Amino acid sequence: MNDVVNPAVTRKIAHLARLKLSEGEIERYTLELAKILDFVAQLSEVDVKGVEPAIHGIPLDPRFREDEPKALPEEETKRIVACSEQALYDQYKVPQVIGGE
Amino acid sequence: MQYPRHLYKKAWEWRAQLGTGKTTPAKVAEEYLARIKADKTNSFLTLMEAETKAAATKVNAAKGPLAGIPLAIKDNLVTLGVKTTCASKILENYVPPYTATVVKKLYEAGAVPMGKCNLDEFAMGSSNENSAFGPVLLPQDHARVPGGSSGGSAAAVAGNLAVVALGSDTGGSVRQPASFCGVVGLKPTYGRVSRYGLVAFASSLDQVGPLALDAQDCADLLETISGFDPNDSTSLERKVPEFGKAVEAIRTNSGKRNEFLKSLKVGVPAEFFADGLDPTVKKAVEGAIEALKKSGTKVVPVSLPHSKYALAVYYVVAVSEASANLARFDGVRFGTRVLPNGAQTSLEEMYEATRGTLFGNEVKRRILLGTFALSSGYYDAYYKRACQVRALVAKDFSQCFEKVDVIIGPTTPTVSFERGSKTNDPLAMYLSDIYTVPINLAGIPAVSMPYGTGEKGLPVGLQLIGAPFAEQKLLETVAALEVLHDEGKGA
Repeated sequence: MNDVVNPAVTRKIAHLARLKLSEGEIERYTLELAKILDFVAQLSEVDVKGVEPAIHGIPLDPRFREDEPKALPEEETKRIVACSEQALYDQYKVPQVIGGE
Repeated sequence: MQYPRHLYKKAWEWRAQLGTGKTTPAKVAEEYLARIKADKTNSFLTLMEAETKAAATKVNAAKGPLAGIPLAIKDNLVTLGVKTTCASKILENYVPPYTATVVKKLYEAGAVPMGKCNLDEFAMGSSNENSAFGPVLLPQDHARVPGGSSGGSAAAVAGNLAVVALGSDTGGSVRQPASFCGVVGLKPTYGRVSRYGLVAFASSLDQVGPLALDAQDCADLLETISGFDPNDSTSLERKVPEFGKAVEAIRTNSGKRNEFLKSLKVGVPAEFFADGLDPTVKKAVEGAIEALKKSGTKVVPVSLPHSKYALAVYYVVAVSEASANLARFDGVRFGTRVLPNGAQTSLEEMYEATRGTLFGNEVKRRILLGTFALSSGYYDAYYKRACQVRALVAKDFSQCFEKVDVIIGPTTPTVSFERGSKTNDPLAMYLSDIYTVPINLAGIPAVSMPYGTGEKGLPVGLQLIGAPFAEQKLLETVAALEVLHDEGKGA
């Protein structure tokens, strides 16, 4: 059995991924992740010396543009902001970020 | 064996009737809408009745192959003003502010949108049992699964609820459900079709693909949605062939068909016929190979030695990309928010509660796995190594295509399985995609078509794999095999 994953590791990953999990979930995911990582471990038998990692299957035409801000028509801005459950003055409203005291 | 293409009217058959004024797009739409409303397979999540009516009324039926044709859209393609849920609680009430390029192209071609189709949550799954809004049932046997993740789209076509459908394929999500449902489903070359407006799962693997009753409809649909899109940085500037005309020639002209079959070179990879392949599926696929041989097609063995590692590569690469892509669902800009302590909830508590509560099991499992693979200390051992093996998987294919035009094999190791039979074992579920994931890793095109039957008389999917941008050759082969199958050759 995979010895890399244990409940403490799962808890740490869950925090990195911003997922609130119950203790039951931590336990179950720990077992499942260990099983999947055991399966993935077969990749260590492949000789990859000198192999360039492939980020895509086939070569793509690299495409870049200037990073210039573009003003949107007002109704489009409104339509986008309206997707949020809590918007105010065309801005997103979020809970307080910095401590209050 | 009767496949859905034998039972139901295809787009090119409707076209003949619409062209002569025998019926109208509005009447056709009404007929399909009535069936959707009476349907028990849970294939649709949202109906688009207002859009259906508007499109069917104003369309010029003479416009093109898809004008006036009922279309189903997988619910991970955004539609302006129409809910797009990705079958997730987190997007249960999300109404997008724009429309995906592929959907827009189909609107412009006169297709009549019927609704948004059910799927595995965020396209993660192989049985459609991971939908937050209930599973989709296989139209042919309600105790079984339609496959996934485009299960609703495939079931809609197989159940005669729409004539054509859009799906998306990250590791087999168009081809595997096409195989289970007995319809044709194609994953295009990476970059052939725009991903703009497709909710991203694994960006280096995702492609939108057509689902249809036969090669002709599939070709017409692919031709309509293909092409460069400045809104997708991975979209490629390639000329779009006339897929529809090419298939029509093979379908209707026996001389051309025989000539095509004689000039075709097909490769059979031993690795796709090894342990784990159901014997009835194997027999059906061998029937297709036999039919090709009898028609003069050159069939040779080929080897894909690294394909056995493809699933392991996939479950590192796809989940790593997913963990990054799904970071955007935090309750701030779109989707539902969970505030466990009301106004006292902190920003971080909101993120964690929103994501922890509203994502389903499989989605959380994959985000965790991807976060792990990308985390400090593990990156080289998992993500980097997986990308290196990915290069070897892709190289195997390019070496094969120096010798053959098309690689042939099964789409899936079994026919459709019973609901609930794999839900407690993620690895067993993942194995359903063992023959489809290598194709996504390599970025090449592949299509699944029904050929023969397996256990309980259920359809078997035959997978045809091509070199980059060889979709035309694949569709021509499907069209030729449809004829060979129906003539009873090698079946």
